[in-house]
Amino acid sequence: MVLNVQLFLDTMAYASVLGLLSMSLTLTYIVSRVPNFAHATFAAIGSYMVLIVVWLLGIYKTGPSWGVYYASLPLSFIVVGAVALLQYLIVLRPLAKKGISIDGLMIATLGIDIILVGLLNISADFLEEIFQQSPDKDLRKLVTYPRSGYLSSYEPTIMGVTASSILGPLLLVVSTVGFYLFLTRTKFGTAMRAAIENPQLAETLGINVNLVYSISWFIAGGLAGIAGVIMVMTTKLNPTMGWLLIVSVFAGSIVGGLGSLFWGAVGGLLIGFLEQFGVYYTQIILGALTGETVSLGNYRQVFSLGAIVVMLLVAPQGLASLNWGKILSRLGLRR
Amino acid sequence: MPIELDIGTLAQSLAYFIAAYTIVTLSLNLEAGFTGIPNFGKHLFVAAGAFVVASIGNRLSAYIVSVLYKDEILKLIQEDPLLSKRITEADIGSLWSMYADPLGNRDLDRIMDKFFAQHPELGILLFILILILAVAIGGLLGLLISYPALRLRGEYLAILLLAAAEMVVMAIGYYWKPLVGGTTGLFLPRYLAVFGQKVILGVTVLLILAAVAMYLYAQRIANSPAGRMMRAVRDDELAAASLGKDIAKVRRDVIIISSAMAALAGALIAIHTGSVVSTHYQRFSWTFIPWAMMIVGGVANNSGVVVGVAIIMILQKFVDIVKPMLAPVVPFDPVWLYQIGLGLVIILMLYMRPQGIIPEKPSRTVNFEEIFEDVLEDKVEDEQAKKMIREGRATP
Repeated sequence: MVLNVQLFLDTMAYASVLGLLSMSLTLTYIVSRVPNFAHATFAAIGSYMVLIVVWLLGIYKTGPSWGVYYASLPLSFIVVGAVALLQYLIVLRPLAKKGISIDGLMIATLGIDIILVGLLNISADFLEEIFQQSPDKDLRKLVTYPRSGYLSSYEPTIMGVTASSILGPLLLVVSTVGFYLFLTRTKFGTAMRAAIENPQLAETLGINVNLVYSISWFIAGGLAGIAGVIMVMTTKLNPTMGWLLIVSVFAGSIVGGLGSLFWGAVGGLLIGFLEQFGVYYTQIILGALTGETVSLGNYRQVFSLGAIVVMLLVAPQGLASLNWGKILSRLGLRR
Repeated sequence: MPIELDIGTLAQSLAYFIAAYTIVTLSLNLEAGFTGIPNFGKHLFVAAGAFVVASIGNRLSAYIVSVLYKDEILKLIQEDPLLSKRITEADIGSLWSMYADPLGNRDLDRIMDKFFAQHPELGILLFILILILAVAIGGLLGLLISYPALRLRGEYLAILLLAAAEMVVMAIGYYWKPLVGGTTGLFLPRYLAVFGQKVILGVTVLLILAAVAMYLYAQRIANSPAGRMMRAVRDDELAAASLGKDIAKVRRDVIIISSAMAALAGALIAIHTGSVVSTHYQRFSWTFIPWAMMIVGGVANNSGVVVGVAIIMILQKFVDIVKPMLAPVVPFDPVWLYQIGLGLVIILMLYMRPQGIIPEKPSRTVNFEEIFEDVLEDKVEDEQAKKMIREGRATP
């Protein structure tokens, strides 16, 4: 089969997760000029919020419900936003003020990643303990969830389509458009662009640059948290789920050029589709060649790595730097 | 709760870890400390050494044995009650692929160990050959990585290296069985049967010797003109280029050398452990911890690196000892506290003392006064003139 509807729907959820993550990673990079290696683990924290919601709201008893999203989307936005804000205020800003080199800042974010994964592991141990000791029989069934749970069984469906396949792209579009309107139509958004463009000049004009940067980190973390909520519907819950995902997230940001939020979102989306469909068609081709069923789902990051290498060597400033008008007219699509 | 402490075993395992991490962290220091190449994918190069030992080494040794000692290995197989039914004479030709397959590896490992116990000299020969192979392939991998690395700066290079390492170790190494047996890993033959029962001690001693050699080598590089050139490239590329230094060549050579060093460590670690599974070569163990050691001990200072390695490894052993005591008190695995603590240490260290415990020192060169005196003795005959030049009253 050349086109696969279910694959397309799954890809929509996965690709919009990457779009959200690449966009928010780009935001933190624009603000702090350091690639945040803990970004995919932010999403993992958001994913754990879903498990906590399933547990605390009793959704494990009632089965699929919209309550999963109503509760976990705002919760993970706030929690992960706070984590990101703390990372900026406690670690990155003081270190940058001390004049630590970019290498030092990068290894600091790697350190934060280790700390966050350690905290997630501790939480997972706690949750396992609570679920195991519980007198509730349904809750005891959740005991394996903190380390290898498929939470997609608790999400509702819309006309037979899992909600994440529709909600993911919707959230991506809403946040991209929202960002655009926020940055261009509001006073604070204009101040934000000014503070990012030229901090010194913005400061002399009375813009509180620190506040702007802090809010940017909070929003970036919040978006990563939301991405985590969608992400957990497409994969298995695990404290280290961010460690391989970070490859795809960086691929998306680099394809977007690490300089524009819109192109970050586009880059993430493209990487999601490239990985999923790249794996799918490679499987078909290899299967036809060898006559055996080939399963390559575990190697999908190969496509991301390839995209990083090609992009950095061909257009290091990303898609954003390309002259699209010229490309379109060359292709005969625009006069 | 009483803790049983076997000092001998403890000291031996501490020595092993310190030696292995010394090699890896010294290689990281050559790149990141001296030359300013932020290698965030160190675990790729350590894993490369181990993967060469498991995938190429296993196939090679089984092939050589099955060709040169066909009768002996057949006899050993037939003596084994389990294997004699499954492996016949016709299968001997495919022994090499069987030994690199997780299913056949377990059973054949017994036979291979027995065989090398009878032929220790072949084991030593293969050990040396495989070690050279691992170092060579590590260097080649460095050469391969250096192509994009020369074109990229700072954070982009860090992202690329980290992504490549995660890909190879966590995806391909873990899922692709023909490489190192996938999730279950592969056992290695006991190449160094010459040490008898004390194989682990023997490999530890070899690792210590390798670490000492690498320390002397790194010290020599750091104090040579090449070392000064590396620092020049790190501190100001433009200035170094304007003085006619080939920046691309310096960076490429450093990447190749330190990749080969890391691969050497990886190969020795694999032979020490006696098996290879990709999960042993994760980012935390072989990229994050070496960075932590370098930052704690001293960036661009080889002695500092050794101090950092010792501090962090003693800390880790301490946690290992305290863990059983802590386990009943806290409702989670105390190992996470070690990870969190290490993350905090690195951030605090960057905040309070970013240059490390032993900071970088100016590279050792011959004293200018000595050179001056030598030249003076050589060129100027008259004692009076010498005195005047020394006092600055006359120009040479």
